[in-house]
Amino acid sequence: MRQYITRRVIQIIPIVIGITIVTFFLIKMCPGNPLKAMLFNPDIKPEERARLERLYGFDDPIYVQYFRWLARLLKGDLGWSLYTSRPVTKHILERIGPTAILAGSTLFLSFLIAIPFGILSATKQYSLLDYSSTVIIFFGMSLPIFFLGLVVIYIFAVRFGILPTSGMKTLGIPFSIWDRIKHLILPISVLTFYQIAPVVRYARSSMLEVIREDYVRTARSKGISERDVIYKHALRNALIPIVTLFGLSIPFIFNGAFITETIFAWPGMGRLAVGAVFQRDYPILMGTTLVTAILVLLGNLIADILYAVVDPRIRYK
Amino acid sequence: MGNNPVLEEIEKKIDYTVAKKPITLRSIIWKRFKKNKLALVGLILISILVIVAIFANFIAPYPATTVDFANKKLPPSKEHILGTDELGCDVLSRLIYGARISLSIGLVAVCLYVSIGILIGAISGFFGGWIDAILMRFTDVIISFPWLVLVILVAAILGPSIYNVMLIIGLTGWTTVARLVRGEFLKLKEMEYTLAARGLGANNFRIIFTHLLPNAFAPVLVAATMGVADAIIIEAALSFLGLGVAFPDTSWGQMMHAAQSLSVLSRMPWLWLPPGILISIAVLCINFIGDGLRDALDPKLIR
Repeated sequence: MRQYITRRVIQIIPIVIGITIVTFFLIKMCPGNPLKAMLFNPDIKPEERARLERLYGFDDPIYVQYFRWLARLLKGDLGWSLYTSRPVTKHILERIGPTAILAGSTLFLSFLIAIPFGILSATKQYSLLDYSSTVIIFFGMSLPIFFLGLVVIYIFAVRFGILPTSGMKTLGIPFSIWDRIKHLILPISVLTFYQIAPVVRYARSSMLEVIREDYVRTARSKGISERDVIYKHALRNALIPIVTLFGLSIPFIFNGAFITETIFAWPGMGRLAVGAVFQRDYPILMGTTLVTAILVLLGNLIADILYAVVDPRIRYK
Repeated sequence: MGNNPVLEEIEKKIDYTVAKKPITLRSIIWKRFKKNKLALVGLILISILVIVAIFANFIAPYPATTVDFANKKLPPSKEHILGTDELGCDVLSRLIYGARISLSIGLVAVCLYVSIGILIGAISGFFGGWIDAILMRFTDVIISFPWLVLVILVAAILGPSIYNVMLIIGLTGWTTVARLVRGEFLKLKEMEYTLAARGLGANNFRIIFTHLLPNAFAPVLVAATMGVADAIIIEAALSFLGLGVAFPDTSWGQMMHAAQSLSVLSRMPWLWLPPGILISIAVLCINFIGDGLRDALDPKLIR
């Protein structure tokens, strides 16, 4: 077991290095840097600009810049925001909490709803429930998340005025749990709806596969009741691959959270990143991209390890 | 023989049309595709949308981008069936012209990334070894970025325009296809006919393109179909955020950009509801088609 985990951890090291390289070079390709803006400023002399360029190392070869950036990164230094002049790490740490609340509740809720749905529609294949879950899957795959967001804001916040349109708290009111929950309902429902589709599909196909296994047929032929066959024998093995979905869902959640946070003005990482694009705040953009990619990678790693923990057949591969 | 009345009678009854029509793979697939009613509905609706997009000039009641401040923010009426936007452009006309850009972005972007994906997957799966290791680690790196995050980052580099959106989606979306093609190639290159082709002196290029690729075609086609749906959604999301298609170009996502302001969202639903509904319908239909194709092309089901 330990050997397996060690091997998996070693395998992700080149990928992490690859992520830093891709992020660094993509950001370097972005148009403009703070010194280029000075080109048009008549108060700054060319010599002064050259001195600053040397000071910040913009005139060094690109790989030297990369390694210098990497060295700082290893010390946990992601640079400073060009807009607020505060450290990028501070910005991200501030924003990662709200995103975690959103993503965590979405993961929890979507699995809570989707797994029973998927299992039931597999055991009752071609039933009304099965068809309706297929319809939900298609809608979850096809409705753009921002459109769904706008529709629920329009219905629940504008038309009926029962839920707030945006933000994390009502201005001018002291913090209360109920207020926070009210702000959470819409974004979480939208994200959950979007997240349910892949989980239902996965749970359904996993259960369908297990039901056809020989040991399930054996259990039936021994005369065990259908309920026990499904819930005692089949379900456990069907749940194994679903465990990995917890980790694998992270990129989906981030995709959704970037849009959802923008629509609902939820002060998370997604909104930080989208805002940074418009402000051309490259250090922030670099930081958020790097952090999301690393989180996705960690999610995959955790998924693999969990899989090995719950399924003894995996270890020897 | 012609003198025998009994034989003539039989001759008349034989339905030659059945025999004349050969049973091809395409006709089998089409027959199976037709059984999936949702896929058929999807195909019909998408065909209508494509026709509307092609003949937008003739169908649209007004030009898409004639600014008319005297008639701005009008609710739906007889002259403007879906009202006018904040610049006085006719919403229905913009929807019709928008179909052109939204659908072609979906199509072009997917063609681009399917080509990249096939190239990388084919090289990786066919040659194996260290080439495979490097290309697949690179794919792993790209997959680690959530798609939208990567798309937003590349959009920041290239700036907003129709062609850049195609390029952005094309350059970032190839990973699934690459993995798919690689997997198929690993399997196919061990097949006997590959060995036979090699024995007959075919070079690598010929084996890849005439022997392996056609056999990996089915899963790629399904992935590409579903990919068009994803590309339309990504384009819409990007344009909605203001990073994709920008005025005066019109796409459905770009039309929804206006709804970022609360006053448009709450007081002018005719601006953002129709494009949102159209995006949903188009994407839903394409996903239905993809699903129908998957079933129709599944070799395990061919009888």
